[in-house]
Amino acid sequence: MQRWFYMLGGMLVWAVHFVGVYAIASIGDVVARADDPTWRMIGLGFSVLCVLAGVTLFFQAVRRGRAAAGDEVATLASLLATAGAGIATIAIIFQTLPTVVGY
Amino acid sequence: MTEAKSETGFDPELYKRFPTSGERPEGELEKLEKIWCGPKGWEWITVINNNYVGVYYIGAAMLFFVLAGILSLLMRTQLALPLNGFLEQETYNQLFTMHGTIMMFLFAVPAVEALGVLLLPQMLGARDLPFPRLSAYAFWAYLIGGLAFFCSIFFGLAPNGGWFMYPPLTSMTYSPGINADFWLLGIGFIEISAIAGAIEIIVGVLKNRAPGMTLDKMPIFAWGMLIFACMIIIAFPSVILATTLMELERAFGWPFFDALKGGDPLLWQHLFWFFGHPEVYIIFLPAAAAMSTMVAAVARTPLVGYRLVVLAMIATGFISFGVWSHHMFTTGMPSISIGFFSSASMAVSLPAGIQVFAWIATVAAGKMRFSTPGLFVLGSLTVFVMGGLTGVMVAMVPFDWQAHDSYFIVAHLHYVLIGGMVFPFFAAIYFWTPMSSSRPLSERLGKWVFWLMFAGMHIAFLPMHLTGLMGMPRRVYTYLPDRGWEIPNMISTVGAFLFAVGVLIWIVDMIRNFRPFGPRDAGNVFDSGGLEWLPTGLYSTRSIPIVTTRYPLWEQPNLARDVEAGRYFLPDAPTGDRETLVTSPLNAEPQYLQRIPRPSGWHVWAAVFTAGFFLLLTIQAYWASAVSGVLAVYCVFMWGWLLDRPRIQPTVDIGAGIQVPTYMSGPRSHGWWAMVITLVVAGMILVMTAFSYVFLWSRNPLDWIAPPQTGLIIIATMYAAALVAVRASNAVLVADRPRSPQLATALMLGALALAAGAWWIDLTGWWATGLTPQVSGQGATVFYFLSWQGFFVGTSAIMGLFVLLRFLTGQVEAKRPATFELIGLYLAYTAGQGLISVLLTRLFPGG
Amino acid sequence: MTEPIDGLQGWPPPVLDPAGPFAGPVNTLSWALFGIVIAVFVVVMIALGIALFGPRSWRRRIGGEKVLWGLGLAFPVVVLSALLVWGLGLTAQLSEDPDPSEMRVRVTGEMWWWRVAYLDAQGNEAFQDANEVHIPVGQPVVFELEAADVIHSFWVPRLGGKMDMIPGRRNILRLQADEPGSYGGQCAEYCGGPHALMGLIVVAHTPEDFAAWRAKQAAPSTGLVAASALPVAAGRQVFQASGCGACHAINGTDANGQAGPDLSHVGSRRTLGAGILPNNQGTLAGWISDSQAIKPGNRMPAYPVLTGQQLRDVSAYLESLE
Repeated sequence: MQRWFYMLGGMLVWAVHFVGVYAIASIGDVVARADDPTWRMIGLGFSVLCVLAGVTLFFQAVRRGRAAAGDEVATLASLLATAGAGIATIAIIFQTLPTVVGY
Repeated sequence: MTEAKSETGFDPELYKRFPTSGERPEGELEKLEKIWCGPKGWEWITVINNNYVGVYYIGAAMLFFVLAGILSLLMRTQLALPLNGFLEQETYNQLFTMHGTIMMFLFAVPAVEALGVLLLPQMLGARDLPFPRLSAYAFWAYLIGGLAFFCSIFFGLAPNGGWFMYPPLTSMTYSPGINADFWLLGIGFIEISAIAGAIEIIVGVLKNRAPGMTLDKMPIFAWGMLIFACMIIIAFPSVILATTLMELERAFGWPFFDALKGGDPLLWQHLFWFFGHPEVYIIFLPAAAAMSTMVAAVARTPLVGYRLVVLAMIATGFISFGVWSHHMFTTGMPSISIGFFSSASMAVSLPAGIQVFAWIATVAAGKMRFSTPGLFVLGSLTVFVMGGLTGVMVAMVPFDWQAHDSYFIVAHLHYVLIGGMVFPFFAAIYFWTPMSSSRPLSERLGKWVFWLMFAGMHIAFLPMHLTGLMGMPRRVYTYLPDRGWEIPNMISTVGAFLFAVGVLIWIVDMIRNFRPFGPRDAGNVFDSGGLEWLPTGLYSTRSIPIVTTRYPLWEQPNLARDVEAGRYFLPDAPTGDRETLVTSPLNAEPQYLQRIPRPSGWHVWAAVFTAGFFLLLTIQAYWASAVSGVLAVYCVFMWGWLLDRPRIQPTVDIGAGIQVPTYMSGPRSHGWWAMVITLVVAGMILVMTAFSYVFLWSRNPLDWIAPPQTGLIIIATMYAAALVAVRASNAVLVADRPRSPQLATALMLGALALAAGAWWIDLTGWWATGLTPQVSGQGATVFYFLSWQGFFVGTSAIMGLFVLLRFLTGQVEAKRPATFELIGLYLAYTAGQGLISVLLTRLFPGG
Repeated sequence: MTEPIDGLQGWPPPVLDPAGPFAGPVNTLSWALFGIVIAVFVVVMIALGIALFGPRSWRRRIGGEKVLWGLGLAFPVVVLSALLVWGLGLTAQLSEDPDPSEMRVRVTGEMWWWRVAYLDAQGNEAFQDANEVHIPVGQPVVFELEAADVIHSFWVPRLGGKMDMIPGRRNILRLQADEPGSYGGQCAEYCGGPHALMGLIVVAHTPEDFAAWRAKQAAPSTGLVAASALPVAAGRQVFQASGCGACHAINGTDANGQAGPDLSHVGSRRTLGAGILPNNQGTLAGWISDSQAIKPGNRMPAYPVLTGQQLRDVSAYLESLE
């Protein structure tokens, strides 16, 4: 089970970010306006945390990948974890842009 | 250098005992053949072997493809000329709805699922799928239901609201006939089919691989199917919920989508597209995985970037769940919210790009042959890239504000679906037919099929990009003259017919050359490296090999010869019945021997009565539908009754003296996994229900009344107690005390009673507040929570009955806790679901 | 019916023929997207061509994993990021809140026509029309979009993107025409039945012309006064006797039905039936006689009971209402 969480960690952070940033804007829409500056900043702050999480997972996976040389399943797991965290971080950055672009 | 760690404690040194030497005993092969014998007479209907069910399944899917294709030809004939009188308005509206619905639900998803059913066991070195009756059931329900659904056209009762059936157009007010109900209930059994297939595939891919086939060596197609199946588990519940809610609104007036009564039409759109967008990736990923397999085989070189392709498919699977509202950019959602969906839609194209370049790199690294599969693979790549690029265009919100709901989108969706699924599927048909048929398909005809389909496709759909920019909306049965839309429409119609000629020639090719179910197959015509090309009988391979590379037939010398001589695992049938090996998910280390059931009629009858239940409900024959439903439950009961029986030997020799158990319970068993996956589906429905509740509240917060003031504590306590009782029941059973079976059964039934009681108190509490399901969004969603919980309490009661009957027939014992555990899981879920529902509805927003 | 109908013209493609600041930047974006997309496609095809037919050394280069990282990941990330920033910025710009001074029109999507209500400065309905919206050039106009029954979508491609009309919601769309003229559109969300025949026209006037038009529309038609001409008077009788006023309103008479389009100034409209017929006495008579044959399923019943003379009279009357 742990192996799977490791491999999919980046993607899970992506999912948390997506749900979170959409929920924050939706709550903002009910309470004030979706693009209300306070709520956008909350979304931005949350996004920065998720980017940091993604980057952390990326470097963690790079390190574990180096140590795993020779064990092919561990190598696969580390590559999935690394590239997954990488793509997830890029996607999270994309998903952060709406909180700041256009205002 | 680190040595690979063992996952289960299995000693990898034991692999060195294989291939074994010496002759296999006399009669061993004949015994295998007899146990796995093919069907005779009526047995063609009850057969469950994937070699048969897979072919049936693909055949049915292609039948629906051709039927839906004929509908499109009728539509294109109507649109060839402005104000054409070829089809009446109502007929056209039904045909375009059916074309989309049949293609998406009755062709695309079943076709790729069917490909998995046919290929996966052989590709993975298993003898069959882990739950063969389940996939057979899924097939028959789908076939019967799908044909009945299609026939609604002939009665003028086909749905006419478009394949995504937006309310209020599809509400009772504006669609008073049963046409919409045909759609809602008509896809009900397809939803069941898809989920059954998904369970099968997840368990099969993770638990039934040949020993040594670690995740890193798993065929790329298996990865694709695994991700596909996981996506189905997460996405389909949303459409199951949506269709259930709409049927409740139509039949009983519960206002989920009716703005006048506290519902919201956008709720449907959210629920539908949360399913609908992943649906297209569900359709695409297996086809892409098949592409990855075929590109490598046809270019005769291993797939370049295998690990990156795996990652790309995983990333696509995840990120595709974050783009659904790009179908809703024009609904007036706040710009920042649609911005998130635009961003994710841009991001999702990154992994697709990786796959495309992996294919190109593989072609470069090898030597591509322009055989029919090769042509379809190259054609698919071209068309899919074009479709993906127009997808990036419409991911940009301002452009989508012009292109949405116009023919530009029709062009885009056909490019990605034909390029991303149809062409790969035809490539797969040409590629894998030699595995299932004694004759391969014709290369000469195949090339005609390809070029006609390829040219026809571009001629039909390329002009549509322009037609959309010329202002033509989609779903129009005609258009005015003198706008300039005539010429592109006529060109599109010509292209459609050209494409159809290609399909016709394919049909001719199939009739002339496809000869399945025979004693031999055509062999490894394309010289591919996968295990499915080992010589096989109905028992799959003579022995289950140890896999040490990704392309065993290329890189493991003498493999075919040794497998055929029985020199690997399971060259015989040690329990005298159908079996396959269960191995661990990461490293594929042997864990236990799985007994596979023999064919029997119960699953077929269950399929008939399941389809009957939904169809009779659609035509409002309520009593007949209820009877059919009861009979379906009875058949499922009987189907399951013979499971979990005593074994003769506790362990067996699976080859070279290696002993494994014949019985497994707990988190390692395939049954446990199947139940957990089913409960994930249920859990997703719960999550989407919670979303619906919160969403409708956010639209009408002032309409919400205060919840019942008492009862929360006792209800929560009773559900919690039920959870404890289930836990205790299982613990008591395995403790194996003298009265354990009685006590365990009593505790299980006690848990059921607690859950049922808690539910009843919850229901009556809400009823006492005066809230009714018809009166507001709160009423509709709260009573939906209660109904859904009631459904679980009811099915738990049926399972309780099952447990009681097993106890009374002496089947409950500590050595065989599997059934108890699985029912315990279900009951625990029921209690947990009840707890979450009661907390949400009574504490949020509270008051 | 071979007369070309005023309204949506397919050529040049209206999406690429912008007529105002809410469509112009989208057109620029569209061309940029086309350019990028075609360039990427060409690159992919060249790579594939080299992979299939190229010399060995080139194929070896493309056959490595580096190509995946570079072409497959790095290059798309750069391009997509730039596009995304552009797209998000333009989205925000196009959805800016309206200024309180901007003119407001409320358009309600009905099955299968458009109810148009011009709002006064307080936001109340001043007068109604149908299937045509008149606006002054050179200033943003705020369209309040609602739906009476099912989901429709308001789309005038030369002026801007579309916005859905959803029951229970009011969506805002701002459009502006830079030049006087007619700008055609069509309903862009399947609404059942004759959705295909639900067109509309936006007519843009110079500010002076618009003020004159608005004043004329707000008052009852001058045609009502000149009711002495015989066919018109007879037609008015047919209108009253047939109960048309139960569904249709004519300002200045006692016809005040709200179910169907307002007919106060129907004679001056460019089209009939929501953008599908040119407006003249003949087509109007044909519509009244059997609109079901022209637009099957629409909410107006056929009137087979009216004689040819009655049809000529009532259509003359209605055409006089300019």
